[in-house]
Amino acid sequence: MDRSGAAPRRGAILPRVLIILAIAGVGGAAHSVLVPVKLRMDATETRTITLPPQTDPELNGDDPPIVPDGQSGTDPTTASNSSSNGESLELGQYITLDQARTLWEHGLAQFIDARRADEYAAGHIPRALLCDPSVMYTSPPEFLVMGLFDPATTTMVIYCEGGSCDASENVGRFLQQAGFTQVHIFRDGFPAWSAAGLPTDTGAPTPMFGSPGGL
Amino acid sequence: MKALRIAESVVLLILRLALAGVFLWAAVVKLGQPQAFADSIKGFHLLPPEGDHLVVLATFVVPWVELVAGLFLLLGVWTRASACVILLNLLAFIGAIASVLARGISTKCGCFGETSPFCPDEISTCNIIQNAILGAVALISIVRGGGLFSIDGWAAARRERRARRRDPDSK
Repeated sequence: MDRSGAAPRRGAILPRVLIILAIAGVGGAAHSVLVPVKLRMDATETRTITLPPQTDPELNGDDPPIVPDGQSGTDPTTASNSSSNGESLELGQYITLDQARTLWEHGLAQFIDARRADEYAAGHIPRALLCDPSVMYTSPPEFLVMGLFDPATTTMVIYCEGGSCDASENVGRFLQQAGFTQVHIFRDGFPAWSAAGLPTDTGAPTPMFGSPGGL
Repeated sequence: MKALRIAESVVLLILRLALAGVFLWAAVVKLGQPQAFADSIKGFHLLPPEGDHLVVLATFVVPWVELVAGLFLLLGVWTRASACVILLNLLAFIGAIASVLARGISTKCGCFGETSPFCPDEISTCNIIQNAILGAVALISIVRGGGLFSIDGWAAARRERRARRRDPDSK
């Protein structure tokens, strides 16, 4: 026996360690069921995008097309390599109204509307695609199924009804699971966009194939 | 010799209470703010997005390990085993922090919730040093046990007295 008078047999330590871990494991697992924790999407690294020359669709009177696989305007890497007007945009995980507007005006990002289909139909950011978080796992959005965008190069901007914007966080995590690495959240969402007098569209999403908003 | 034994037990008691206090505090803070701790774990980027359920599990299991081991250590029950659990915990933390540093990720530790008294800034070598010091204290408890001023010590002394009563000739 140890002189400190507190020594169990050496062989007794391992079972005791396992018992302590088992008690903690059971307690922790039960606790995790009782208390909900909402995981935010993984932080998107801050990136600086050099803006290309102005291609404001409103000025041109034309909507820039949604180009698959990030082969043109939706690709910030391409944007930073092209001739620019010297301005740049620093994007963190959450972006402001001004940043969202700049990305939209330059066609540098694909906007995703993380609201319900009826809310989308009532008003949305032009060219935004619908991804209803309540059905995205059972009925994935068409742009994902059809592989319209290259996950490695396409900048995604997600918005919803503002506030804590949990729907955007959920869609962001969903897109990250699908492999998208450049996912940003426009937290103030559609209310701030429309309040700023920026262009909006109405109407249900045009189905690429199948039913609107999903497969 | 007895004085030396008492002095050693006093030192062991102080170290044990300090270590238990730190871990109980960390556990209570984490369990009080599970969302903040979950965000901290996510910030470590140790798991791919598919592993989110493990992040949720770790959000509660890690502080529960600290809580149970801290309570055992505080009382001096199964002192060596609880110190061993704490040492394993600290080694895991050191590994996770080293991984974050190696990948150049800038994030907060979340070791004591929003407040990090010892290493208040972003994760750095300070956190590794902090955990190494706590690990050294845990190692002392593993090697020397809880001392006289612990339930383990009290139980051992009782066993010794009984054995002496049964066999007065033995030492």
